[in-house]
Amino acid sequence: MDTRELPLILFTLLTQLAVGLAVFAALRQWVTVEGPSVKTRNEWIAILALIGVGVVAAFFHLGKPLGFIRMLTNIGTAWLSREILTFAIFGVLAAVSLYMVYTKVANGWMLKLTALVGLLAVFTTGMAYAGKAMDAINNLLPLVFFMLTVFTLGPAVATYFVEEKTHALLTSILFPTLLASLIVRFVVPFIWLSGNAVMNATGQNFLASPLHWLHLAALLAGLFFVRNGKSIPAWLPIVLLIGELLGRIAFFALVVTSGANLGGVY
Amino acid sequence: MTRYAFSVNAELCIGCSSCGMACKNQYNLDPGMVWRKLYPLSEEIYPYKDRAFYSLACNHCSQPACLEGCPVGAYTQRDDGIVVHNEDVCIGCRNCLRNCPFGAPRYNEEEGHVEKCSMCWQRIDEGLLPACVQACPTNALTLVDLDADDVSGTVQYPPGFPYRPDVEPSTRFVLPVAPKVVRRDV
Amino acid sequence: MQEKMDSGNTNIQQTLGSKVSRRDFLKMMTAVGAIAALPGNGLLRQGPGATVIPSTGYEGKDAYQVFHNACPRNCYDTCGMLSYVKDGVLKFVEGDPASTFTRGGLCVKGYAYPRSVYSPDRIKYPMKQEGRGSGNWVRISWDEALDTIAKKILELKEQDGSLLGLGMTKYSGNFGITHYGVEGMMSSLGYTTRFVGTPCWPAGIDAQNFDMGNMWCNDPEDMAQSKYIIVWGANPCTNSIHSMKYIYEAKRHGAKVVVIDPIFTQTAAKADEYWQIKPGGDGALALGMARHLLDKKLEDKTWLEENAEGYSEFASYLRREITVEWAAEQSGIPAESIKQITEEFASVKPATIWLGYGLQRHVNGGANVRAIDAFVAMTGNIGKVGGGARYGHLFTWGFNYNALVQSAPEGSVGYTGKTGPMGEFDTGQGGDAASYTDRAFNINKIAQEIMDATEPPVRMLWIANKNVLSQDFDRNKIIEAFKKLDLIVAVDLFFNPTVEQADIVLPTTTLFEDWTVNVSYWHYWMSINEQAIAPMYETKSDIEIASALSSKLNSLQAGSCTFPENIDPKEMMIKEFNDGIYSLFGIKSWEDLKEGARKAKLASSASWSDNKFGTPSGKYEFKSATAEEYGHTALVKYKEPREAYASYRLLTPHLKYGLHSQFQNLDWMLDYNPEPLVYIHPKLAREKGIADGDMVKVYNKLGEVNVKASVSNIVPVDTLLMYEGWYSPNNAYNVNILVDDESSDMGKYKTGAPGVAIHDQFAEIEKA
Repeated sequence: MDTRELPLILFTLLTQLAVGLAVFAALRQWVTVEGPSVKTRNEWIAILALIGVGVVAAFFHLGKPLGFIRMLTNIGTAWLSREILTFAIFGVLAAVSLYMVYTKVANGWMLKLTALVGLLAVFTTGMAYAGKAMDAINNLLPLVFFMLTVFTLGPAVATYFVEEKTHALLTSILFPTLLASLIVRFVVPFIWLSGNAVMNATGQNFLASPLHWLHLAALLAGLFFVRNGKSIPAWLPIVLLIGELLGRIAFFALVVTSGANLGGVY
Repeated sequence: MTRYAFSVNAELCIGCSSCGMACKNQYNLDPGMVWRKLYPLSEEIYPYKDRAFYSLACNHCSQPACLEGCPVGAYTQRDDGIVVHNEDVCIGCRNCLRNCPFGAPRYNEEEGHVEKCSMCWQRIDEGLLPACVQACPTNALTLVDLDADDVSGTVQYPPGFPYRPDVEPSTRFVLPVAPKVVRRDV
Repeated sequence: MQEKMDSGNTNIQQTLGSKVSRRDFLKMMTAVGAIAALPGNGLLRQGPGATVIPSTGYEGKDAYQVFHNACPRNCYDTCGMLSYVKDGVLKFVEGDPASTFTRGGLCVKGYAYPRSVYSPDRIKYPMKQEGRGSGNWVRISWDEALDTIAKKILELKEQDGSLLGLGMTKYSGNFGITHYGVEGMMSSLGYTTRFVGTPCWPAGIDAQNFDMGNMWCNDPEDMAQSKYIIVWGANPCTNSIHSMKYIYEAKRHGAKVVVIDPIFTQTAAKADEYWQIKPGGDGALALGMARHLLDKKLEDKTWLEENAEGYSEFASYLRREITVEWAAEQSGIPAESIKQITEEFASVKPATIWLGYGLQRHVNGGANVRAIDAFVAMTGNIGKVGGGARYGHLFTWGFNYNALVQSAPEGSVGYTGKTGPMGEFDTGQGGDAASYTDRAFNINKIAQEIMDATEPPVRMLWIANKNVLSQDFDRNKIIEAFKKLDLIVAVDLFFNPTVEQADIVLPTTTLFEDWTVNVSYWHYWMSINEQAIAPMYETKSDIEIASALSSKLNSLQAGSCTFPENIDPKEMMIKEFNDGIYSLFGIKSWEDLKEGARKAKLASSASWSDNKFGTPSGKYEFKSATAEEYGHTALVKYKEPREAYASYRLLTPHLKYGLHSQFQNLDWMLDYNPEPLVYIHPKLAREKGIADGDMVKVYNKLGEVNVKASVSNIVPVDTLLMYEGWYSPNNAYNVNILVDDESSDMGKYKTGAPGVAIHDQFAEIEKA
C-alpha cells in the first residue's frame, strides 16, 4: 500500500466518525425522553478532538502543508475545496455546539444544524473521492461507502457516551446499516468484475484482499451481536472501527486507475 | 482559434524514447520523474511484445479533470488549449492524480509538488516546437492545430487508450500495422 | 561477486566524502554559487563548487550561450549537437538543425548527456585503489598519479630494455579525432604493446575490401531514393534512428522494405516483410538468391561484363553447388519467399541492401558479407544513387591525426620483423620505415594474449576509451589474466567494472569539456566539438593526460617522451585540419564549423559511381587474390557456420538505452529501462516452467548470469536474447560472462586482427 495515503485514511475515517457522533447527539436530543437536556457534552469534546486529529493528519498529506490555506481557492469546480469549506463550517458549528451545551443554553436547532452540515461535509467528501481516474469509484459509490461508515461508527461509538437504555435507539439504526453495508460491500466487487479492464482489476484486487474480507467479517460480527436489538456489547465498536479501518485502507490501496492500463485493452 | 494537440503516429514510431528523454533534458527532471514515456501496446492490440507504442505525456484535454479538481487553482488552460501546471502554486495534495484518467500528473516526493507536461509553452511562445516533438527522428510525434490542420487520418480514442469524452483529450493517434512475417520456428 | 560489488560501492561513497543522495548533492552545488564562464578558449577550470541550477524549462533564446558539439560515441549517427549553457552550466542539449541527418534531434542517450556531465558518480580526481578490486579508493594528486605511472614506465624500460611490457587497449569510447592522442602518447614513449583490431566490424571491412577495394557506402540520405531496401542484420530503429526517416521516405514513394534478422527487431516491425533467418545463414541465403538471379536471367549482364572480375567462375560455382532449396534449408527461409523477393529486388532500380554489423559477428561473417555484396553486384546496383551494398565508410576521416603521429624517443627498442599494428582507422604513419615496431596483439583476445605474452610479458596496461570488463569477451578469463599485470591505469568517467579492476584511475572530461572534431562512418557530415563548459573537478582529456605524462617523464628522465608538453587542447584540435578536409567539405577554415555541421561535397551520393574500384584489378572482384593471401577462398563461396556448443543460441546485440557501457548506468536512463532482461519464446518458457518476470539462470561453459525473464514472441523458439551493456554499479549483469572470444573469419587484412563471433554463442536456461 502507498503509505502516503495513511493521512487521508485517518482523516476520512475520523471525520466520518465525528459526523456520526454529531448526528446521534442531535438525534438523541431530538427524540429521547430527556430531550434538550440530554447530556452530549462529552460527545462534542470527542467530535472536536476527532476533527482536530483528522485535520492534522490531512495536513501531513500535503507536499507543502503550509499552503493548505489556499485550498479554498477553487470552490467553483473542485469538490475538494468544497470539502475543506464544509468541514471548516462543521468544525466551527461543533465548537459552538459544545459551547452551548456546556453553558446549557437552548441548543436544539444548533445541534441539528451541525449534524446536517456534517452530513453535507461527508457528501462533499464522497464527491471529492469519486476520482475521475478511478473507473470503479468514479460514481456515487464513495458517497455510499462513506455514509455507511457514518451510520455504522456513529451509533456504535455513541454507545460509550450513553446509558444502556439508549442502546435500543442506536441499534435500531445500527442493525439496518450493518445489513446494508454488508450487502453493498459484498456485492460491489462482483459488479466491478463485469466492468471494463480497470474496474475488473479493482474487483479482483478487492476479492483477493484479506482487508476486504476482514472488513466484511467485522460487519457480520456486528450483525450477529446486535441482532437482539437491545444492547451493543462494549467491545463491538472497537471491532467495527477496525473493520472500517481495514475497509478504508482497501478503498485507498486497491482501486486501480485507468492511467495504469495505458497501452492495454480497456 | 488555435487548439494545440500532440499527434502520435504509432506506425511511424520506432520506440526510441528520444521524446521522453528530450523532455527530461529540457526540464532537468529529477531521477524518477518522467513526464513523457512510451507505453507499449499489449499483444492483443499489436501482436509482438514491446514493438508498438503510444508516446504519451499530457493530453491537454478540453475539459481537464486535473484543473476542475484542483483546490488551489494550480492548473490553468490557455486559449490555445495548453493546460499549464504551476509548480509554485501546487501544494502537493495529489487530487489531480486521482482525477486524470491518463495518469499525466506525477508527484515529486522530494519537492512536495506535482509536475506534468505543459507542452513546452515557453518554447511554443517563441515559435519553437516542444522538446519532444523536435526530438522525434521520424515525425511520429508532431504538434498539430486541431482547428487548422487536417487530422482526418487520425483517431481520438484508439485501442489501448481510455475512452473519455467527458474530459475530451486533444491527442490524436495513428495505429501501427504489423508486417508480413516469415518465421522459421512456429 | 555481488557482495564484492556492493562493498566496493560503499567504499567509493565513503571515499568521495559523503553518503549524499543525488538531491543533496545538487542542492550543495547550488548553494556554493555560480562561476561564470569566460568566453573563447580562456575557460577557467571549474572548482569543486560547480553550480547545477535546477532548470525551470526553456528560459528564452537570449538566456543561453549556445555551443556546437558532436556526439563522439560509436554510433552511425554521430549527431551534431547544440549545447545551451547558462552561467557556465550546461542546461540542456539539442540536435544540430544544420545537419539534415541529425535534423535537430538526438536520441534517448544523447538527451541524457547533462545527467552524465553532472552525475555525482563522476570520477573527480585521480585515485589509487589499495588492493585491486577492493573498492578502497584513495584520492591522490595528479602529480602523484603521474609519478607512479612514469616510474613504472621507466622501470619497465630498465627491466626489459624496451617498453613492450607496456600495453594499451582502447577503442570506441570517444571517436573525437584528438582522442587518437592516446595512441600518440604510446608512440611518444617508444615501442609498446598495442591491442589492435576491432571487436566491431572487421570481418565486413575485409570482405568489402576484397570485393571492391575499400569499405565505402553511399550517402545514407540517398536511401530516400531507393525503390527496394533490404535491411539485413542491421537494426536502425535501435542503432541509427536518424536513418529511419530516409527509409520511410522511400516507402512513401512506393519502395518495399524487407528486414532479415534472427530477431523480430523494432526495424522488423516497420518493414513490409520480415524474414526470421537462422543466425549465420546469411551467406547461404545470399548465394541462393544469387542462384535464382541466374535461373531467371535477372543479373545485370552489361554491368558485370564491364566491371566484374571472376564473375563467370562465380556463376559456375552457383550453378554447380548452390540451389534455392539448399539455401532455404540453411537459412530457414522458404524457397518461395527467396524466389519472390529476389525477383522483386532485381526488377526495380535502384535497389539497395544495408548490411549490418551484427550480421558479420559470426565465424563465417566475412564470407557472408562477400555473398551479399555479390548479390547486389549481380543486380547492377553497385555505384548507383539509392543503391549499393551499404556497410560503412571512412571517406571523411582524412584528418592529419596530428595527435596520433608521434615519434619514438631516440634509442627506443621495439618489436622486430613484421609491419606494425593498425586499426581500421589506420592512415599510415609517415616517415622512414622503422626497423622497430610496436608489438601487436589481438584486441579481441586480450585475456589470452596477456596470459601467453612473453619476452617480455605484459606488466602494465593503459586502458582508455574502452570498458574492458564490461565489453570484452570471456569476462572470467580477463579477470584471471589481469592478475599478471603489475599496474593497470584506467582513464574514465565512472567507476565501471574496468575501473574496479584498475590500480589507478584518471578522471577524464566529457565531450562538453573538450575540444575536438567529429565525423561519422555512415553519414557525410562533420561537426566541431567546442568546449562548452570548463572541465569539471580535476578532469583532463586524453591528450591533456598525454601531455602531462610527458612533462612528468621528461622531468625524471630527459627525452623519455616526445609528446608535446603544455599543450593547448584547442590548438591540438585545429592541427587536425588540412586542405584535404577543407576542400572536401567546402570550408575555408575550421571556424566555419562554429556555425553548424557541414556536409562533404560529394560528386555523387553513390560510392563507386565511376566504377573505378580499389581492387588490384580495378574491378569488382568476385574472385579476389587478396582474399586468398589472407587464407580465405578467392572466390565468393559458402562458409560453414559455427557448431552449437550448448542447447540454445544466445544473441547479445545492442541496447537502445545505452551505447555499450555508456548511458545505461545513469539514473535518468534507469527511468526508461530499469533492469536487464533475457527474452525467451513462450514455447520454450513453457517447457522450462518459466513465467514472465521470473528470475532465471542463463549459463554455459564460461559462466552464468542471473537475470529476469521476459516471455516474448520476438525471439525464435531456439534463441535467447540478452542486450549487452552495463547497468548501475550494483548490478552484476554482464552478457560477456557468456560470450567467448572465438574469432570471426575475416578482419586481419585491414584491421590487424580478426573480429569476434559475438553472435555465435550458446547457452542453457533454467528457472533460478
